[in-house]
Amino acid sequence: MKLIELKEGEKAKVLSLFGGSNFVCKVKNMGITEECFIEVLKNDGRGPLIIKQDGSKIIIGRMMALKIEVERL
Amino acid sequence: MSEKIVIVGQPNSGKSSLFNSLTGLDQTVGNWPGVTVEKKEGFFFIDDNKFEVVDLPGCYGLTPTSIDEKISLDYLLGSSPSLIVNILDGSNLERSLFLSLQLFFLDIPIIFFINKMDVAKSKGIKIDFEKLKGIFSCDIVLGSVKNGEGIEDLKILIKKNINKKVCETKYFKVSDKVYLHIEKISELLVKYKEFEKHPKFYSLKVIENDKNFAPSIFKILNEKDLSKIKSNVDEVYKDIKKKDFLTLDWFYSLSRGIVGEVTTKEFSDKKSLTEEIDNTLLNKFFSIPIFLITFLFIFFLTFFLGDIFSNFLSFLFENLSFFLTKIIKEGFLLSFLTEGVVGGIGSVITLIPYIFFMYIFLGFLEDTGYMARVVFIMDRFMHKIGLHGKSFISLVLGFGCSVPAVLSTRVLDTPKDRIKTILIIPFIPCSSRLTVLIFLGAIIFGKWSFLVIFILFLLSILFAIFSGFFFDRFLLREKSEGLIMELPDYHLPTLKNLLLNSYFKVKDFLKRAGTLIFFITVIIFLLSYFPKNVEGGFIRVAGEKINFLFKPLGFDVERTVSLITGFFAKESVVSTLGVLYKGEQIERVIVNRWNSVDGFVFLLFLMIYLPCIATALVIKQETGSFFYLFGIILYSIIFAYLISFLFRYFLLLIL
Repeated sequence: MKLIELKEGEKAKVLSLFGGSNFVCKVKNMGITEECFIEVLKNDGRGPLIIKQDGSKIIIGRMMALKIEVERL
Repeated sequence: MSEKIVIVGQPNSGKSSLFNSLTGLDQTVGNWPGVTVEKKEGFFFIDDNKFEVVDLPGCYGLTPTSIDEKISLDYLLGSSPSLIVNILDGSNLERSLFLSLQLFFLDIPIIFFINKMDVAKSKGIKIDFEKLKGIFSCDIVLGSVKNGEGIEDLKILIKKNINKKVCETKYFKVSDKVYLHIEKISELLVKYKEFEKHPKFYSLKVIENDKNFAPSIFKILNEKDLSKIKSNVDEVYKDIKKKDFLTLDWFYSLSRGIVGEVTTKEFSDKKSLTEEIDNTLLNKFFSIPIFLITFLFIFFLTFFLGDIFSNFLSFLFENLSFFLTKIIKEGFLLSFLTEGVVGGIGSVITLIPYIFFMYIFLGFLEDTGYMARVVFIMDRFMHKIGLHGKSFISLVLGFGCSVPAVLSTRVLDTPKDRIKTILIIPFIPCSSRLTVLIFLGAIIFGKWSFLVIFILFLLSILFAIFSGFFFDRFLLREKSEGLIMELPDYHLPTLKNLLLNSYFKVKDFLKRAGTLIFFITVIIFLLSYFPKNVEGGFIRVAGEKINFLFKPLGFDVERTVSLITGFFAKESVVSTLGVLYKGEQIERVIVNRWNSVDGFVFLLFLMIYLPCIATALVIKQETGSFFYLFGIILYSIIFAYLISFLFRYFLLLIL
């Protein structure tokens, strides 16, 4: 499933990142790597999502969240 | 002889605070050569040794995705500093180490300053210092810049570590396939003089296949080495499916390993304070009203506090004029001093309190972490004009000054995002414009002025949105790539940082006031004084000639002239009016001559009509095109004219 489909409070494991190398590099620089665990803190159904990865919180736009494949835990 | 050290760290690690802590007032803010990202340099002494320190723009890693990050990397590769002070966030060690581990590949001596230990403690995170020392051979300081902890220790260690040998970590093992091949490739690269300083780093880039480096490295290599290196790279990727930026995953897995070894975290189900606050501030329904109220409040405070000090300054200048009149009596010198110098410069200097408080409050929003929330709140709306929330930060910076705002678009990903944002920035009322508005507004509308200013402020945002929409539809149709950024935890900023930040902004303003604005004021004065037989001088004649253009908006000659000088610097609108309304206090003339509709329309026009000359130059430089420069100038004048015209007749009808 896609990251964007997760609801608030749900946890997931990142499976893969689909996109250009700039996108992949950017997302990985922020700590979202394949196999890492994340939690969705906010998903209002509109506007960006806020996710938590280890100690950091990351704002991620809906378009980018579409390109991240995850597995719900 | 002084030594050069650099501070390297990720955004939100407390880098600037550390820099401020080390250098205090001994810093200069300039530009990086060739590019115009802010470059902060300073110096400090330990005993009798002088240390020069450069604050590099924050970077998450050494694979740059923005111009900011590229500047940091280029500096590290090109300038060979004697020491890197790497600042880490103790409350988020995993992410911080991601950068630190990469820094080891530069072969530059390094010290770790692990900041925010107080925050880590409050989060229940414990770092085992002895274990950490066992992993890295470099010196490590635990501390908190905010509380001043660890700074003295850091200074002592800086002195001790200058030009010491390069550090190592036992986490890089040759049994590790990636590291083994990095070593192998760097043995080949070190023979080339282009790579001899940082062979490991270039070898890392080869394995990463970073398009900023790999192709140019391959060009330099001879055929034999090239094929050897390529087979090494193939070896690394054997049996691996996912190939994109494998090294970044590798660095993260190492840093997760280290964090697992050296830290313990108390498990807690409780929501952190930041999360509790965000539940309210980022609430689906309340976030926008809260955002608006926050900005209204800031304008009110800026206006209220600025007014007190500004009135005091005007009082001083009024007395100075009075005093000058008493001793000089009459003649050119008196006119020059009272009308040109005191009238012109004085009215600019009375703007300083507003600028000072404006930057204090904007800095407060930035340092607390609320500005990042603004990105989140505004992202949705920015999409409507084909941009994303990060562009909004540039727009917010535009409230300070358009020039750094235009420059800040360098963090945006695509050129079209940048150009679109750059074209919208001139519609954001900068502090110069706002202070002029606040200053004139206070005279025209008295106690209601902050409300009028706020309405103008909202209108300008509306115009910016409209313009963005316009550019998006007719000029640059392209969807932006999307938003990703860190959301820092809330924290209380220190007064010292806020004051320092604002102090340097005011200093910059004074420098401009002392040169450009002074120059314009003197010229305007001379043009208004000569020829002596004409009342109001040459400028009045010229103003009368073109005044018919502005008659439909109800502007008198003085206002017309001030709009022209306003192109050079918005502040000179006030100083020009000060010079042209000869001999009298500007406040009195305006109260007598302008009615509130006139005043409002003038402020409206002033707010949107042109970017100042500094902004225009930067727009040309950053977009690289006269088309955009003249386009935006023409567009903004026509737009300002139409809007002011409509408002004037609408207001005259209903009032």
